[in-house]
This record gives sequence, C-alpha cells and structure tokens, in this order.
Amino acid sequence: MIQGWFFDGKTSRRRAAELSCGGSGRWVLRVDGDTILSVAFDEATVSPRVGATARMITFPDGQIFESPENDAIDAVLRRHRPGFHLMAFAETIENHKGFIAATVVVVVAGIWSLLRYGVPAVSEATAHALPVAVTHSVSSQTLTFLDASFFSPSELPEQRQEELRAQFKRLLPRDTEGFDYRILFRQGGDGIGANAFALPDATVVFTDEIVALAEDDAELQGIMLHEIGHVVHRHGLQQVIRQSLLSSLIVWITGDISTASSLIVIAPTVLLNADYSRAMEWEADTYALEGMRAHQLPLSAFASMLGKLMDSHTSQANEDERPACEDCLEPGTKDDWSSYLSSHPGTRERMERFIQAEP
Amino acid sequence: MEDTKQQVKPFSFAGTAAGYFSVWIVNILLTIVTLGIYSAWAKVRTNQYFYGHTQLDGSSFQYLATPMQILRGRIFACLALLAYLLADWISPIAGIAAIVILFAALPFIFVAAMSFRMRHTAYRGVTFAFKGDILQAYLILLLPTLLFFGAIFLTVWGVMPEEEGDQVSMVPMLIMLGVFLLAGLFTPLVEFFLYRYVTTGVRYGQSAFRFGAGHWDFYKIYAVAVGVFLLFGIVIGLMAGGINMAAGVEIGEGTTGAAGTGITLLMAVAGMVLYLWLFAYFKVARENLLYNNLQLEQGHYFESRLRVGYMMFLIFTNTLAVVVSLGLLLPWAKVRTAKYRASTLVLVAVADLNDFAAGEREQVRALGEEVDGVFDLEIGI
Repeated sequence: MIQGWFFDGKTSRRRAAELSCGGSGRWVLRVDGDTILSVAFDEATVSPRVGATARMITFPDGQIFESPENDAIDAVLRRHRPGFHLMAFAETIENHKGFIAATVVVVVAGIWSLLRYGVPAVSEATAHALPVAVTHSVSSQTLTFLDASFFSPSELPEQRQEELRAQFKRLLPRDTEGFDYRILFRQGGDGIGANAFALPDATVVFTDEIVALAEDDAELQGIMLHEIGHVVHRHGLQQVIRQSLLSSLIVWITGDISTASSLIVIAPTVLLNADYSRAMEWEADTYALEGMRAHQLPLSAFASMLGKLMDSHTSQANEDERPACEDCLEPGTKDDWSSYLSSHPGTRERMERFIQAEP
Repeated sequence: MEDTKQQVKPFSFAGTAAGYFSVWIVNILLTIVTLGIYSAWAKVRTNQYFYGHTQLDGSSFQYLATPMQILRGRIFACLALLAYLLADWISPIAGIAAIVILFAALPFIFVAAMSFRMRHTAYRGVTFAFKGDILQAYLILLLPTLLFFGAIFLTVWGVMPEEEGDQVSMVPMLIMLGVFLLAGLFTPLVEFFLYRYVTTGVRYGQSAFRFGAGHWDFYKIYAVAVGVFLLFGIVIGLMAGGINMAAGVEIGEGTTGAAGTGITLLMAVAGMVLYLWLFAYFKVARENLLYNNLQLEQGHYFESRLRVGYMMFLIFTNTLAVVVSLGLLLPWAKVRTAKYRASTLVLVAVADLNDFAAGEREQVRALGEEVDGVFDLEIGI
C-alpha cells in the first residue's frame, strides 16, 4: 500500500488515498476504503524520481496520485517495468556516492580537455577548410579601426619601405594558398609603439618604431617570418571561430543566451583566450625558427629583437594606458609570474629557444 | 467559504545542497558524454528538482515539460545563434538586420516562453496558464524601446549641425540629455505595466490573479535607490576629502602616495558595496512588491518578506564560494537561494485550497505540438 494524495484533475481538491499494484498488474486506487480507480499498469505514467521530491502518478483521465513514498513506488516499477530507463539510470547513479566522486573527477578532466584540445582542434580544422575570401571584410574593418584610432601614416622614406617590401616578398611561402600577402607601414605612436602584427587576410603591419629599433635587417626578417607564420596557420581566423564556438557551446549546454555575458563565464574565457594565444605565439615562433634556418638568417637576431622589444615596452612611460592588444608581437611581459596571464609566452623563454637552437 | 478563518500557509524548500549536487554533476557528465544532447533532459531534471522540492500546504509543485520539447528549443536557439554569427560575418548590415528581426520577435518570444512555462507548472493536479494578450506585449515591451531609439536617432541625424566643424552646438547634446532623462522618468511606469501585464495574465486553473500595486509604488523603489546613491556618493566624497586633508596638510600640493592608495582603496570598496546594495535592493524591492500585491480572485494573497541585508550577504557569499570553488559550489548557492526565497514567502488562505477549477484542456493550436517549447528560451530580463 502506498499512501498519498489523490486529485481528480478537475479541481484542486485533495483527498487522502492508497494506491497498490499487485500481481494483477493493475493500479488500484482507494479513497476511504472505496476503490475509485482501477487502471492497467501501462496506462499510467509515473514521474521520475528526483532527489526527495514526491512522485506523481498520472492516470489516463488526468487524475493524479501524489506520494513521497519513493521506495515503494520504485519497487512496483521494478516488478512491472523491467529494462533500461534513462531517468531511472540517472537516478541510480545520482545516489551512488562513489560514482559521484568519480564523476567530479571525470567532469573536471573532461571539460578541461575539451577546452584545451577539443575546441582548438575544431577551430584549426575549420579555419583551414574555409576559403581565404572570408578573411577580407574582418581584416579591412580592423585596419580601418586601427588607422582611425591609433596609427598615423608612416614617415619611413619610400626607398626604405621598398627595401623591406622586397625582403618580405623573398620570405613568403612558395604556396600562398590564395592569400594575397602584403606588408604595410604605420606610425604606432604612444599607443602601440614598436610592434608588428598580422591580420587574418595576410596583411602584415610594421610600425616605424619597430623598424627604427632594429639594428640589422635580419632582426626584422625574423619578425616578418613570425607574422607570416600567424597567417600560414590562420591564427586570426582560428581566434574568431574559437570565440563563436565557445559561445555556441555555452548556449547549447545552458540554453541560456544571457549567461554568455555573466562574470562566471567571462572570467574563464579570458584566461582560456590567453592560453590559446600563447600556444599560437609559440607556433608562429616555430615557423620563424624554421624559416630563418631555411633562409640562412642568424637565429640570434630574433632573440635580440625580442629583447629590444621587451626593453622598449617596459621603459614606456605609461604602460597601463596602452590598448589591449591581442595580435601584437610583444605586449610587455616582464615577470615570470605574469606569463600565465600574458597572451605571449614569457619572452625570456622564447629568446632562450632561439639562442639554444643556434648551431 | 467566507466563514473559514484565514490560514497562513508557508512555502518551503526541501532540497539539499548534497542532493542537488548529485543531480547537477550527473547532468554535466551525461551532457558531455552525449555531446550536449542530454542537456535537455538535464534541464527537465533540474526543474523537477526545484519545483518538486518547493512545497506549500503539504503538496509540491510539479514541472511537466518533456525533454523532447526542450531539445527542440535548444536546436532552434543554436540555429538562430549560428544564423546571427553567419550574418554578422558576411556583413555588419546583415548582422544588424538579424538583431532587428530578433528584436521585433522579442515580445512574441516572451509570451510564448511565459505560456510554455505556466502550462508546464502544476500544483495539486491543476496546471497554470498564461493568457496575456500578444498586442499588449508589443505595446509594453517594444513601443518604449522604439520611442527611445527613435528619439536618439532623430537627435543624431536631425539636429546635429551639418558641417563637421569644431563648433558643435550645445543644442543636440541637451536634447540627447533630455531624451535620456525622459527615458529614466518613464522606466518605473513601463515596469509597472509589465508587472501588471504578467501577473494578471497568469491563471491557476481558471482562477485569475489580481495585482494591487500602482505605478507610484514602482516610482518609490527608484526614488529610494537614487536617494541612497546620492547620499552614499556624498559620504564617500567627504571621507575621501578627509583623508586627503589629513595627509596633505604638510605636503601642500597633490596627494601623497599613502593617502592616494587609501582613497583608491576606499573608492573601490565603496563602489563594490554600492553595486551589491543596488543589485540586492532592486531584487528584494521588486519581489516583495510583486508578491505583496498579488491576490487570487478567491481572495487568497501572498506575503513576501525578503530583506536587503540578508540578500546582500547571500549574493556576496554565493559569488565568493562559486568563484573560489571554480563553480563546484554552484549547487550549494542555488539551493541556499531557493531555501531563502521559499522561507520568506507565505500564502494567506481565506479558505481551504480545494476549490480551484482546472482550466479546459488546451486544444492543439495552429502551430501544433512540434513547435511547443521552441521559444522556451531563458531570457534574463
């Protein structure tokens, strides 16, 4: 006998009732000792067990029996409804302490590896599958924005620009995969200073300041190769795809568009982006390292250029006022502890790599 | 019916942090394993947990939506998001067009989501319903926004001087300021209309709700917020001035390092406290106003006794716990919040609760069962 409440589904009137389901395979409901319902087992639906909530057994005409006697109801279900039921399965594992403990570990590891490996792998594959044409509008918008906000026209002599353009051309990969590589010069000013970056459509921008900082053209060529590396690996595109992928994932899992803007979601996303960016810098460095070897450039030139960039940025008077800059070559990494938060791997670590690789 | 004495029937929440944690972590696991598909089942289970543990007068609430309905909604939401991302990628204009379309559909989605949620909530075998008029939803949700943006648009394109000289006239600036002020003045009124629209649209079975608050009640909420904001600003300003004076006397010019740090710290803490207060205050004031003015047509009414101080404490400790535990204490925070909400709410019944008649069975509507739940989107308003 299962004790509970009976509702007829037509009014909110509540009556104490008893339900049983014996060998006959029928639900029999009694109120005040009178049988008022007798229904075949399959014709009633039993709500799933969730925590300590009361179960609702709904009969064909909308009558409802409510009871907190979960164990008694489950005993009936096991007898009459063998086999696999998703909700019953979920309920079973929810009540297994060891399983819950294991689940915590699996979930944490699963989410971590999804974000660490799954998302980057999918964005990389997608970026390489898309036609180059998709990069044009975003890149020109970015350049227009930077020109309006930070850059002023270059004051490098035309002859010097021509020299650098020729050097850049020699360093390009044999197969351009449809990219239209070009190098532009701009004055970075107080905002950006000595820097270089690549837009997704293979437009590489060098500031006058970085050209002035270099003592030797090999240093600039190392940086050019690094930027070409960003283009070849389609890092700009990957970044856009990754961001869309992350927000779609959040909407898919939570079904909530508004959570995408809440702090709990933003904080890990910022950290993750920094992590992804560091991986991309490392990859672009690898490209530069191999490229410099192929073009017989001294690897130490790249290391010395990084050193100069770091010095130029740390000595810049007002560091806090520089704009947040995702594609910049060197956003002023100073200490080891900050390297995890920085979008670039510790500069010293990167310099070491080139110095040790030199034969 | 009239001769029965008034009876105070408290709400209660019987869920536990440990119990919900199990449900939550298993939901996440199965969601990952099924590449997100289980998230629809997870949502149903979560709602069943919270509805089912919410009790009133010995009976619990019931969540009736099925996972398949939720899954359809998920698929639709994701397709819409992808369409938007794609449009935005193709051109900014297409992206803006997508936003405009979404915007125009918002009142419709709001009504659809509201009626889905109500239709799938039951208590004592009787389901809720939402009968709000769609036209009214457009008037309340879309019209004020359109008027606001229309005024901004007209100011920018109509009144701005044609030549782009340095001589920018003060007139458009003043008009713009006026538009914002006017919008601010009308916000409580619009909020009042929205609350009245939603509450009077809800049915429990066939019984309608009455909403007894007037628009001045909403103006009072805002007036208190503005008053506290100003008072707080003055006090903090005086304190900062005090620190500056105390430290700056012998130096003469500028602020010394220590005093500067002190003032910055003071400002940061004060800003956080003020933000927390505003957040908690608005939540508490709105919910109390809502329930304390809500009455069923039979005469039963509610009493809500949320307190701002405790709400601040709750929000602060919950946020801290969730951040420090990297999200693992989220179930604890949610259960705590549900417990507090339920424990501060009572129904004052003027008779026993046996006489609510169920609504007529919903006839299948023109769009059919397939789209049911498609618009059950969570929109944090």
